[in-house]
Amino acid sequence: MDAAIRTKDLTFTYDNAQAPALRGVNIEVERGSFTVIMGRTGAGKTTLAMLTNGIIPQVVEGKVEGSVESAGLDISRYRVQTVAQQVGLVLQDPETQIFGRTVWEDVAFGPRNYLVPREEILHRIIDALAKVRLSGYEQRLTSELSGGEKQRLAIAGVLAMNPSILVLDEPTSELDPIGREEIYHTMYSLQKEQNLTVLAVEHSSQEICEKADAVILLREGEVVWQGDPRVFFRDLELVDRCGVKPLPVSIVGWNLYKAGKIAQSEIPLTVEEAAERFAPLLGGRPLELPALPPAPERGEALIRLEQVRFGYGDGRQVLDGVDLTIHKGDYLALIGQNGAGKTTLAKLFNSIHKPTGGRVTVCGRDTAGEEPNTLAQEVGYVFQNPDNQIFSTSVYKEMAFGLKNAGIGEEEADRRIREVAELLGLTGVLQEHPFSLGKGQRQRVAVASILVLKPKILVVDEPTTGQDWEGIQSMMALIDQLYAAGTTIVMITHDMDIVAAHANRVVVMEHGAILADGTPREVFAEKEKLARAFVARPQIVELSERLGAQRPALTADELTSALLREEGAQHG
Amino acid sequence: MDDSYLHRMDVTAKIVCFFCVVVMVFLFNHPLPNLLLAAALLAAVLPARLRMKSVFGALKALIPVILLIIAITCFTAVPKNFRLPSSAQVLFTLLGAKATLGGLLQGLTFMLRIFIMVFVTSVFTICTPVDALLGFFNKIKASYVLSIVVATAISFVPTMMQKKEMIFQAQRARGAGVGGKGILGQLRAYVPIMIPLVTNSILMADHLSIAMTNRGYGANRGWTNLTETKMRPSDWLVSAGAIALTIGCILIRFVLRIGMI
Repeated sequence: MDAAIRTKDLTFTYDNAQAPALRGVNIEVERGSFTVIMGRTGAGKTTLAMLTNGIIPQVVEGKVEGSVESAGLDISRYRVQTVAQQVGLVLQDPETQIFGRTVWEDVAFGPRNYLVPREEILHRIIDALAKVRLSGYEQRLTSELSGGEKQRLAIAGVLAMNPSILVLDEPTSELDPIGREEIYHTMYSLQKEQNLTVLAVEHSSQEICEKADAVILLREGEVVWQGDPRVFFRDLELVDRCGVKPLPVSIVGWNLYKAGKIAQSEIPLTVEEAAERFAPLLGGRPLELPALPPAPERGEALIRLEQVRFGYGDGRQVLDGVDLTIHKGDYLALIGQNGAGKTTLAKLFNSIHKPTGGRVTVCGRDTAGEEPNTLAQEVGYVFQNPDNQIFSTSVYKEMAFGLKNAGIGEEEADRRIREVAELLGLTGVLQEHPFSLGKGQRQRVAVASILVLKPKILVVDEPTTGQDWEGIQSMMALIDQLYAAGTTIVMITHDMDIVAAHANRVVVMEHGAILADGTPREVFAEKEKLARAFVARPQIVELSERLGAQRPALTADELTSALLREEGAQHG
Repeated sequence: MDDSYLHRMDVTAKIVCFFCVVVMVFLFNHPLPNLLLAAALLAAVLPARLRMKSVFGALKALIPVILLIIAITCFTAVPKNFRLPSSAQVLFTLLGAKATLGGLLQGLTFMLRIFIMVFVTSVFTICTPVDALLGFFNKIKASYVLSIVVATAISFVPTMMQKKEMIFQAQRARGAGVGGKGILGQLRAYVPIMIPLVTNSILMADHLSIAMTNRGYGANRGWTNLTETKMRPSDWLVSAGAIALTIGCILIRFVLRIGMI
């Protein structure tokens, strides 16, 4: 095989680390292929990506054993700057790899360092921007680009150096589904049309299955599996062992395989495959799903928005006449593409933003006369990035901050901190420094520091973004637990599988207005509206519709048991 | 207005004018010449209709500090250093300390110097694109490291502003107060904002150094210059005028010995 990247018995230990981050890694990435590295947080994915052009160990230091050869260069014998002309590495955070004030300035940065002549650079800028579909953006300010555009600019900056291999570290984890689609489209066309070798670190499963030629699974620094993604995603035990999110339709397939109804090789990976494979089990009849229990009575109104408008000082109108009432007992998912106004809307709930028109009342109080600190015990707001708020030297002090602000006595504060720490599994780390904890734990600290205030309503902004499958599951289990204990939940998310499995109410936003509002089943049945809001429906919803069900199923288990029941009835 | 005569002025001419102003502002310690300088600057800049609301806002915020400075210099200026006999005149006495006319004038000079410096620096940054500044560095053969540091720092200003706003909101959501009482209380209220901001900046700096090497920074001892700066006749004229004026002021100050307290 003609390998673009080849590692031999590669072991790497960071300076000051106890254990190696990679152990005996042997991989070969075929020239011109699209290969994906997957695995849990901390499995060594980023380490491996940074070793492909020598950033590790030349900038981030540590001990390397074994060898890495990229584009025919032994990385131990060349400077990063030399290897980087062949191997373009797009790092995780686009924010810290965009140096230019304007788009063209940023794309020029790479070639300028190699003293490429001015005319040639101007050509390369046009060329690189076209490849990532940012043509015409040359003069735009980088600070005003959307997340997806920044991500594509980061890729363009690397492409302008004319590499033959493109390595991308989680290029889509912070993006909404459309942004993700755009990045995948870009990577795919670069590989297919420009003949680049693409190696990407990724979490999301669906696109990989459709686009990648090969996957490499890392687990605790070791390669546990490599090969065809279609084979990998059909082995759910392996998928689980690697901490990767399984494809929803494959879970149904796996259940049916375990029940002896289909062969393992028949486990479907796309909705089309699934519809084709499962239809025969129904013998031509539509799928019957059991009747739903009647919807429970709605609780008292906690937050009421009447004809709310919101605009920024510079004239941008973000919300345009929103009416919404949030009731006690709602587990509400706020969805819609980036820029639709979800976060702005949620920030009205605790008076971080005040409406520029209309009225917001929280527990009967008009927020016009309230501040976030006076509402902190009604509405808790958990921000996406815990590192934007952690400032104390211990978890305990961090949790005590809000209590002190609220003027709660020391004894009561101590009792609450211990109670919440117990609930969130933080008891053992109360005296630890928050920054000594992993990202998932830090997120819990951020949640804990809000929960001690016992808010009636908890707003969580993209609680699962950037987390691996296990992190997602544990965060959602925590939110479910809080909901069960009586907290009303408002959750902003892009993950429709989460919405389907957890929420009891979905509000879809588009251009600052509410497009749809109802139970997940009602909203997911609104095909046209969701398409307008650029929301892709969950696989299970799509599949149950394809199988002729009267109402959509929401979870793989629901669909499996319906299929098995039908199949049993047919034979019985 | 992003295209005024000040925007179109060549960066070299602007830097020359800037340095002339700096020299002139420190030449005289009597407020009168400085007041004239301030008036001349306003006359030169105001017709350009720059967006300067924030600059005047910042100047306004400085007023309490400046009043404090004036109050202190009133009492602490040393009469021995006064050139004019009238400066030693005592205005009033407070708790045994004498407030002199010279001290008051000195305080006013400090005020004008601060105002002028803030003003010209702001005008310079408002109407000089970073590219032009980099082009100038290149022209004077400054190290390209300097260019990169300046360019990167400037492009990170909006990022840091966003970060600050996010941190601010996150802390307010946890009931962080609207500011404490007294100077100490206000400082304390900043701790929950400053610490995450500093930790975030350190992390960012770390990522930045990785990202820059990754894009070939340091591959050569230099980089391709993309912007060429060119002086037009009007730029030459303005620069010459500024230099002539400065020389004139130096003569007035050291030969005629005018403009001192």
